[in-house]
Formats: sequence, C-alpha cells, structure tokens
Amino acid sequence: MHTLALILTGLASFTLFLCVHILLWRSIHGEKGITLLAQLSLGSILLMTVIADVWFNVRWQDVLVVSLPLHAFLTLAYFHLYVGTYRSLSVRILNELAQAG
Amino acid sequence: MSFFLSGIVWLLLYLFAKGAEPYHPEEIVSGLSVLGFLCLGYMEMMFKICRGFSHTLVTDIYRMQSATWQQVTSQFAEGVGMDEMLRRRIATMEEGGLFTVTGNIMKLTPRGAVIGNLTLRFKSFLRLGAGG
Repeated sequence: MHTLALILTGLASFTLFLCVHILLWRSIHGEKGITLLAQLSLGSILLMTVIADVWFNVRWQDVLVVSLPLHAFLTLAYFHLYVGTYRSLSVRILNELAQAG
Repeated sequence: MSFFLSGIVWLLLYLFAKGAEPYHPEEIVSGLSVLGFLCLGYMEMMFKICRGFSHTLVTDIYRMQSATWQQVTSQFAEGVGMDEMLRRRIATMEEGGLFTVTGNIMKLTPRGAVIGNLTLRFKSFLRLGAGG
C-alpha cells in the first residue's frame, strides 16, 4: 500500500504538470520557453509532496526518494517528446512536406 | 537497447546486493527511475552535441571567436555549411524511409506522412507555431 501511494504520488504530480502545461500553453499566446516548463514540473512535484504528506500521511522524505525520481524520469521523457517535436529540423521538414500535400 | 540492458544489470546487482534480505518494491521503482532519468539525460546531451543546431552554432562562433552572417552560414559545423548540412539531413531522412526524392520532388512515404501529421497536430494542439 505504501509503495502504491508513493508511485501514485509520482504519477499524480506528472499528471498535474501535464494538465497545467496544456492549459497554459493553450491560453498564453507568444513564446513559452523550456524554463517555464521546468518550473511547472518543479512546482507540481512540490505541491504533490505537500498534499501527500498532509492529506494522505505519506512521509515527504519517502516522496523525495521514490516519487521524485519517477516524476523526474517521466518529465524528462516528455521533454524529449516536446523538444524533439517543436525544435527539430527534421520534424519541421516533414511538417512542410505534409502541409504541401 | 543499452537503456534496457543497463536496467537489467541494475536489477541483477540490486538482487545480488540484497542477498537473503527481503526486497522493497519502492527501492526498485526509485532505482530504475533514477537510471532512466540519467539515460535520458545522457541521450539528450548526446543529441544536443551531435545533432543540435543551436549548439553547433554556438560551437562555431566560439571556434571563430567572432563571425559574420556569411561566415556562420558558409562555415557551419566546422566548414560543412548550411546547405550541405541540410542536404545531409535530407539524405539521412530519405535513408530512414521518411520520404523519397525524385529529381527535385520530395514525396512523403506513408510512415513519413504519419509522423508529419501527428507532429503537426501536437504543435497545433499546444499552439506552438512552426518551430524547427
């Protein structure tokens, strides 16, 4: 049960990060950098650590040892997808060809 | 491949270090997550150094100390040049089966069309603009 709670905390913080990221990116116009994305990730794990500790009685030390690495791994994997799609020259070439029909 | 291999090696080492002691699933989750994070971080660094446009540009300007626009475009990637860099990238993508080039006409293969459309939708969903 304790292990499951720690894994769920990591997954919940990643889900929170994704939801806030999507909401912000769809509502803010203009350049939205990687720094903001990293800040959102950090904010979501901190918030979930507090929530898990206060409401679900999961020790914050355990969250830092188990949930934080899980969250960091998932976030970095998403960063790969995001940067690989948005900033890649190869993807841009494919997009131009796809739009050209 | 090496990522999965390192995961298996880590698991074996973990079980060996534990010996007769009962193992804790949270330790495995934590260990594999850290390993995955480090592997992805290393992959990111390798891609940035080997294929990153911005990093190559910074390296070139560092090498030349200061450069004009003309020098940057003609001497890109230690003398390769922007045109040649683009030609190489297109050749790599063609070899990867993403599109075919006949004369001056580039045509997406079904796989290239799927990737092109999916990434376009991703950019559109997040309102990212053209990117690249």
